[in-house]
Amino acid sequence: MNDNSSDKSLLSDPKEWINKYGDVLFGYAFRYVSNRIAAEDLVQETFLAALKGQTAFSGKSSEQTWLIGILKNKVVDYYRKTGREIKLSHPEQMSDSDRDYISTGHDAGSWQPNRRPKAWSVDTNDPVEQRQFWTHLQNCLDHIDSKLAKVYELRDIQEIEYREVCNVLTVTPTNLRVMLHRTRKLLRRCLENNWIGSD
Amino acid sequence: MKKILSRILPTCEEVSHLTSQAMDESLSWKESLKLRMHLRICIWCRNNSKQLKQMRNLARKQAAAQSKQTKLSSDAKERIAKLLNQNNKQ
Repeated sequence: MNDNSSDKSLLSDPKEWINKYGDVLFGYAFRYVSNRIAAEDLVQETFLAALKGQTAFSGKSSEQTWLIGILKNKVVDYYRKTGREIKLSHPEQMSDSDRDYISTGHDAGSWQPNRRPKAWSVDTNDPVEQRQFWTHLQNCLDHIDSKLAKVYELRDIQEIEYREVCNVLTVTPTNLRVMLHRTRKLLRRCLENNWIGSD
Repeated sequence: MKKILSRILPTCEEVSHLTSQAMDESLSWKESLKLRMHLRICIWCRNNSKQLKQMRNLARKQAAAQSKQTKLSSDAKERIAKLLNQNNKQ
């Protein structure tokens, strides 16, 4: 108990927390969960946990860093609870079962002639194309496996560190590598067929 | 000759894996050499590599533009502040 009260004395007044850190924590949570309500809940849980002193504040880091640390743990819990399907149970299912490459002969492993990535005929600096890209990307993400979509969202859209993605989704680095490769391939193909092909 | 070359040079399939891997972590010098050697001679894998990176750049740009608008709503702020206040008194 003594420890607890001395921890608390290092903290600023909890009444000020929401105005000081509310938006920062919310922005952080939103990157991970892409859902306003879930992100609000995470912010609330973080503050409550901080208030109860579940994780002691040592004063070594800033208050904000400490709160973000608590939030990170809440994000891991969130995915444990809601996203059991995120886990990749059978890595072998992730292998290249599609027919992008020639499978036999001395050209084995080369692109199938009709699957070769052709140059894209769009100007990616054009804001109109950029919006088109975004719409098509969302669409493509809706049509692939939700685990793979989540992985892509966290790593390639929300720019979350590789190790951090492994951590929150509880996947091994090797599995994440396989999943990312698979997803990027699927999405590239999907964009080629829909975005590039639509011009 | 082709047989010997194929031992040293990676296939397009391997290169596709390496390309994706290089977007997340640094490759060993051997892997990185394999990748660069193959990309130099293979236009399809060059397109693939360029496009995967382009996709990521565009997606991150869009996400960054959107995240500037993500703020906690005043309703939520009020609700959480109230809750904090209640719990603080206990």
